[in-house]
Amino acid sequence: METEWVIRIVLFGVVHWILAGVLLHDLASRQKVFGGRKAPWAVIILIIPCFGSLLYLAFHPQIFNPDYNRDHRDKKD
Amino acid sequence: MRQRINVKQFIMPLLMILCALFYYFGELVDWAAWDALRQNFFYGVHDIHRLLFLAPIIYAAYTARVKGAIIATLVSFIIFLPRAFFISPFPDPLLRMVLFTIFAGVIGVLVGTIRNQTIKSQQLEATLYNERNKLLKILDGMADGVLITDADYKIRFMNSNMVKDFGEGAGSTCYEHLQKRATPCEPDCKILSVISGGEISQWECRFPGGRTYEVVAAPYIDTDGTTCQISIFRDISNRRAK
Repeated sequence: METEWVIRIVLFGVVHWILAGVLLHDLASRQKVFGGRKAPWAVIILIIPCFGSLLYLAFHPQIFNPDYNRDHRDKKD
Repeated sequence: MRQRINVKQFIMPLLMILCALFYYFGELVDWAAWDALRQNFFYGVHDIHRLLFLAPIIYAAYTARVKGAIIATLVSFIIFLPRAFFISPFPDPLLRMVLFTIFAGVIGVLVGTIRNQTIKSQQLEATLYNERNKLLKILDGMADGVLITDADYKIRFMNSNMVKDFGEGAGSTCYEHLQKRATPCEPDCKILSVISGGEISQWECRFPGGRTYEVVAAPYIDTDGTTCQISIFRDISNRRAK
């Protein structure tokens, strides 16, 4: 295998694991997830490199607006 | 009950999609055969095109802080990968892409950190302001007169009893407002020893009109960090008359 391909795979792996770590942390702290169950999302994030994480982000865009979610939750409480 | 949809949460994914479309516009034109849209700009080195991704990264850092910046940077990196791996005919596509991602990520994290600090200081300021208001409310309800003065002799606060006896004077100097003088009441004034010396002083003070007050003064640090003097004025004119 060429060195360039090794670098590509390593880079892809690094991005996958950092993103997976951040998103699994978000998944664990989230009260409600799309579809209602957390386990399938954890499997998707871990098993499908990068695209699983993108899929999770596409279904949970509220991750980019935590202030609104917190205020909304506080008002409900 | 219908739940209101928060439109703001879709801004970030939309920005990412727009940037990705722009980044791969040349390939999109080739694939769809939109010859009228074919421009050389979309087939050159994509270093400039990548700069557009700073918009979603900084936006994510602003709304979702450091976590948002990291996610947006990594998503941008995933979007860059196919061009760097398979499309770009230019030298070192991977290295240029990695360098840009590091640069954008650092900017995003810095923006997120600054935003975090701003929010924290705003919250602290609000808490401090509320605490000050609470304290001033308590002082306002006291039977004696209460006056807060800074080192420049400027009155910062007068409670309602003090206002009743002397009239509203916040913002003016204490010697002008209370004693009707043009200069500080030296050598009787203890404000400097109270503020700089940090000691509690007690003295009697006569005012125009023949009223006499017993004054107890102590140092007080205001919300802006300035050391001021807080004085309690007790009317002892009747006691003196006897």
